[in-house]
Amino acid sequence: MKRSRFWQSFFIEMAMVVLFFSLAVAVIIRFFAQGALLSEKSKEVNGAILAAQTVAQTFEKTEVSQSYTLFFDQNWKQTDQPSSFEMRILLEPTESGNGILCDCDIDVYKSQTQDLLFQLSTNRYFAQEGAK
Amino acid sequence: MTFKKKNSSVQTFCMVAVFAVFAVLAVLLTLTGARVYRDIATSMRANNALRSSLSYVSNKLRSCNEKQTVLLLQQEDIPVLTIKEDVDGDTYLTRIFFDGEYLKEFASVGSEDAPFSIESGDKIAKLNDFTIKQDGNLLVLTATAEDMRTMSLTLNTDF
Repeated sequence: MKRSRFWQSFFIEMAMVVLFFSLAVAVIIRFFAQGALLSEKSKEVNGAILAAQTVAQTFEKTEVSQSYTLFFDQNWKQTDQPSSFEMRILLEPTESGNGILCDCDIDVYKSQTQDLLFQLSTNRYFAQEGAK
Repeated sequence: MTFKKKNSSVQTFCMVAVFAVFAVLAVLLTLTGARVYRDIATSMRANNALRSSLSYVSNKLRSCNEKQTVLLLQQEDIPVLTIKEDVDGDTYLTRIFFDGEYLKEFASVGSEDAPFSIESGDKIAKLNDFTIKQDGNLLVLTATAEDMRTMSLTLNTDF
């Protein structure tokens, strides 16, 4: 009788321990998942920043307003077809002095979810041929 | 009597089973946690190294003024990005190079052709590879992190 009571209380205690453990596991796994997602997002934003900076440094002069989209794969290599990421670029030139001031708006999105990863606005002055 | 004995052994078995499940789950959680933490730490370290190395070099170049000259030289069999500035007759040089393990910066006074040791210099970031290529007035920086992830940044040196 005594032995049976001991097992009963031990069983109840173990059941409680397992229950609390399960709750703790649920919370901890959520933290792990969130950590992994944040790390992935940080990787994507980092890639988006570098890709946008590269375009901001290398865009060419345009005579009329232009908008185009560039596609990038998971490793931020440019592709011809829609892939993991897309970069929408809007170029708006305005006559200024002896040249053209070209405004450039760059938005980088994650293709699947259309989440905006990074936004960059810049401009560049292109002097006319022969002008100083 | 036999029934009681049987009942007791079932109870014991249940207890041991519950305890075993608990122990296995605890070990699994610890292992999963350790693996996720290691993956996140590796990824973040690689991300930081890529970002800091590329940002450091690009900011260094963007902060150059008209008195400074940017050169890409081949010294000690490695490409060395050299920022040269003449002040009161002295030539100040800032060399940025990859020694095979670290991206480094070395500041000195003297000629840009003067030999220097790749052992010298301050460490900027630990990387697997860092290349600098010149394409006209564009400078293409490519960094490869320890997890073999590669990122590139193109800079316009026409300033």
